[in-house]
Amino acid sequence: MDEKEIIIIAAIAIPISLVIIVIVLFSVFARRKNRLLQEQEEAKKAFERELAESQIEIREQTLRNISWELHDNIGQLMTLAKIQAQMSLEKPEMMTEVSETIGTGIDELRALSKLINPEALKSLSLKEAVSLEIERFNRLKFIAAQLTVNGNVFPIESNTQIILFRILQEFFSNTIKHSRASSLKVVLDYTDEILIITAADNGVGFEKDDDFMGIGLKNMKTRAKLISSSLKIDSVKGEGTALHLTYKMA
Amino acid sequence: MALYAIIFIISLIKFPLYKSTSLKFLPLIFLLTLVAESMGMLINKVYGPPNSIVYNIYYFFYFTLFFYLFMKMIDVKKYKNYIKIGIIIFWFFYLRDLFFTDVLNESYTKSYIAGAGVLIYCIILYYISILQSSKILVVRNDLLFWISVGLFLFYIGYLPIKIIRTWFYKPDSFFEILMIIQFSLITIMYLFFLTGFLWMKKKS
Repeated sequence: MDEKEIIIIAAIAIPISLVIIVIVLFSVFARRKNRLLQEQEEAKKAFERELAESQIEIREQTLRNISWELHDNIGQLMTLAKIQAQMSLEKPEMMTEVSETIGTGIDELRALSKLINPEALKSLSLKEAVSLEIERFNRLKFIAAQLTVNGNVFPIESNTQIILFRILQEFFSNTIKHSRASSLKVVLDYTDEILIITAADNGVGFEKDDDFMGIGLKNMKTRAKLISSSLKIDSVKGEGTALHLTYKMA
Repeated sequence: MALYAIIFIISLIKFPLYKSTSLKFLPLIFLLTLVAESMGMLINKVYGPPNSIVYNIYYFFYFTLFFYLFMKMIDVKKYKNYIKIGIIIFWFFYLRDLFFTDVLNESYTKSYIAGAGVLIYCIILYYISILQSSKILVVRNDLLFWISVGLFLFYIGYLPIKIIRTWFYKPDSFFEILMIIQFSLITIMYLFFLTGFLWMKKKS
């Protein structure tokens, strides 16, 4: 092959190769971009689905809480007030006690109204929402609950907050229903745009393959993943269960 | 020469948009190119060929700066290490040419080919890193993407020309075809650079 042939081949091959490279390069990038956009769209849909489910579950939980409070707390107070009022017909000095009992009932109703407000979670910060739950547990004597907040509280996007709250609510619900714990400690640790949530009870704990925690745990993990958080649940049989959630601001 | 000057001026005008990134070395690379080409032409006119010394020195800084730029702009640590190996290979060839090739009268062809090869390799790593990340969604406004496309096409096309010219060259007008392709490649490369500067958005 002489020089002229080499040059002719090069002169034809170079432009053809470059055109092919440009076409391949841009089509590979375009395909990858479209796939990524599709994945993002699917992730967005999954997030919205989980968000909607979380909101429904929070509402259902709220209704259950209201039902408990009306029956076990306010109902009892009203019954007591009725008995006291009947007794005060004979002993008028008991009217003070009647008034006190009705006053306590009104206070409990006010606390309950906060729970009924569907916009409550949107207007409350995560810290305030968790604090209300803890207060409720203590007020109803479900469990000796304690909340500790460390660092400077930073605002979290409301949808993310709903999911975070629902994860915690699910954990609290499991603690109260199944753990037979006497205490629940919750720590919200805010450091440099990272929120570390720790919730620990001193209940009976569970084995990793226990069914009742299986679905709940899977739900919690799926939701944590949707808000780019990591969730870990440690449990020791007979010692208790602890949730560790790390949320990093995007 | 006008293309080199235009791109250098545009790179300065758009400098505020990328001054906080490693792309801040781009104007320096374009200035180096402009100075080297001007000096190459000047030496050719005043003293006559060869003007290899200018390009032999220029290519060392040109390739090293581009390698550094790609190394800094790629986020994947593994790829950064691969580029470091590429830089060592290029420097090895350059050092070899420095000892065994006459810097004044001969072109450092082997180190040039090594440099161009490593640059293509850096660009491929850069593309892989983009394809693996969400940067792909904003690649249209990414200056380095357009710069890399220009460089990639130029060196893929120019490497065979360089090899043919170095090892098969005869004082024959037929070789001018290759010169036409070379100039076309330079124009295409700079048009991609221009697209990058015009479409770029601020990076932090």
